[in-house]
Amino acid sequence: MRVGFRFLGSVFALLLSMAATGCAGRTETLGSPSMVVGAAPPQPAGSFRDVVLTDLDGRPTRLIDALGRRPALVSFWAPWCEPCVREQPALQRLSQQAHHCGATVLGVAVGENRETIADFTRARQLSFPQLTDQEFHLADALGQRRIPATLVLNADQGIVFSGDGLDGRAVTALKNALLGDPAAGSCSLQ
Amino acid sequence: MIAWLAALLAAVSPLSPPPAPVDAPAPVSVPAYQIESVRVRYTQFAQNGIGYQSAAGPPGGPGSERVTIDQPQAEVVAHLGDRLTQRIWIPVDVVTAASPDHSRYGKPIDSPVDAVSTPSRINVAGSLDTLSTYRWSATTDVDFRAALHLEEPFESWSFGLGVTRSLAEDNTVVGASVNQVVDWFDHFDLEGTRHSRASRSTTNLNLSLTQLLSPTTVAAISYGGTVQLGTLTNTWNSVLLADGDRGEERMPRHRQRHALAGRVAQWLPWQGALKLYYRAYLDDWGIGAHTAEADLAQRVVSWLHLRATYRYHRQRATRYFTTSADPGATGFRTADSDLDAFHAQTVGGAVSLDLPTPKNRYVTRYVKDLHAEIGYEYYFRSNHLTVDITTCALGFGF
Amino acid sequence: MKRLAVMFLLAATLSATAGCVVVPQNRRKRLADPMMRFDADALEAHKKQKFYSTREGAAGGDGTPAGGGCGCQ
Repeated sequence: MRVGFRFLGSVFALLLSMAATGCAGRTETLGSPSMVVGAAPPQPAGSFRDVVLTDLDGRPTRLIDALGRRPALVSFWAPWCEPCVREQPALQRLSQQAHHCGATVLGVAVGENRETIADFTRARQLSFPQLTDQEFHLADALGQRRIPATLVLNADQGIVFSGDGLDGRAVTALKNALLGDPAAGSCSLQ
Repeated sequence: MIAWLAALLAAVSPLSPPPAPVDAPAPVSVPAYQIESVRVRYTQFAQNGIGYQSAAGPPGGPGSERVTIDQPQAEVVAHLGDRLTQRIWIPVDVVTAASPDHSRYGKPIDSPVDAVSTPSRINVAGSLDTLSTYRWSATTDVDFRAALHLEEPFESWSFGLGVTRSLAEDNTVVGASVNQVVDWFDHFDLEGTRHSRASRSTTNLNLSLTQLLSPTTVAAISYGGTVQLGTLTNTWNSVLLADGDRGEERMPRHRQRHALAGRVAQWLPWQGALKLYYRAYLDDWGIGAHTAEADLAQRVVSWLHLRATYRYHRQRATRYFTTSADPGATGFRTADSDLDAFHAQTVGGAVSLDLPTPKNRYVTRYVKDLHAEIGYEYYFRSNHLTVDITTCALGFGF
Repeated sequence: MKRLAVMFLLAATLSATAGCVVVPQNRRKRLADPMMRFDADALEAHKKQKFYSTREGAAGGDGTPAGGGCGCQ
């Protein structure tokens, strides 16, 4: 019995070390040798602009139409993702400030139907625009596998920033995008 | 083996590689202090049965192990800034008719000893347990645990330090933790007389690995090793002697314990989840055990799910177990039914509700989630012990 | 005991090979469901741990305080 447990301990240690070393370095890009379960292959850059999403009233909407010709911050999220839910109040505040500056804050809920998102935003009194990407078309086109994920686009709809949760770097990127937009008003983002 | 463990600890230690810089700037407008959730739970255990360590029985036979425990608990989880999460948790046990109190003190000399009377007929035990989790980097968490436990004949301090590191986009999480517990308790003899204080130390090392196997399957394995030193006997437990009298329990002052456990959780396409658990245990007192558990959950509507659980436990007795000890022998001996060979089963069920918050803007401004649960379990084992467990819980998310 | 060792070896092999499967974060809705959590909540876990560690000599020894001696249950 004692020998058996020593043997099991060695197996366990071997397993831990394999997990700790074996796959740690191959995680960041979709082109990695690791097998990715459930994600579509990345689409050519630029194709994301034509992806059709659904707004909370059920209307099909292209991302570029939802953003208009304004700098924008796009947040990918899901109601089951705790860090995403925690940053919703901050996104709500930022959207109100951004609106006065001539920028847009847009939520893109991935993997969920619009009814669920509509109920969630109503219960939490979130009023900034939301689209749903139930089949991950936009997320996969952008190679966005993480949530929360934050993108900042300039007025020409070029991606100028890509990060995880909403943070100071994303807000700075949105400020810079506004500085480069002659149509933007004078205001402050915090 | 030790070299392996050392290498593993180094692999998951936040000091190797050197501490990562702050790679995730603070989210916008993070409050300095935010309460995330408050949970309360009340459980009642109603136990019936007999055991040879209890003196509340006929001469030469097992005594009563009847006991009722009321266990209220409360837990608060708060975020301090964007990196520190603090959990404070207060469990309380109110134990009525605790079996250690079988003193003959103050009774006629020929009266039978009574396991359900005198000093702590009602015993209140309370703990304060805190867990601080610090997000060291985007992939590494460090946690520190401190706890104090107080009850009538007993006090206990414990400290723990743990590290978890996620790898491969959080698909793999490895963890290591070390815990130290120090207990002090009154040394009562069989007559209920107190003989100063006794103490014991428990040192514990845990290693764990959690792995996502698919978008619907997660598995985990863990190893725990524990070394105990000091007074490991229950000084007030009695052992039935061959001549019909009762003697004190005597156990070694050292115990080494090993446990290996594996778990799998599988999402079921019909809005259900199946969790399986297996644990193998071995110690140097001769106890070996296998435990298997299955938990099936089914969502009925979006705000309600049902759970059914079944657990089977089989253990081998310690080599010191006896129900008829030689009165002249000086070796180790116990008649504690918890250390005997037995098999035990638990069947139970629970109803879990995620209630919609009231459609009132003043309420929804503060309370985001409301959770309620009621459950019942029945524990029964082959050496004459049954327990009815009733529990209810309420949780608020902010 | 041999059977136990073989079982764990199988589990270990399964996990080690699965170590190179990557489930993207945004595909973890099912894994994040409360029904999939190994321990429902900390209070439920404490209830179980305290109950078994004071009734079964083989409980404890894996991250939970070892039972016995407190006389509380």
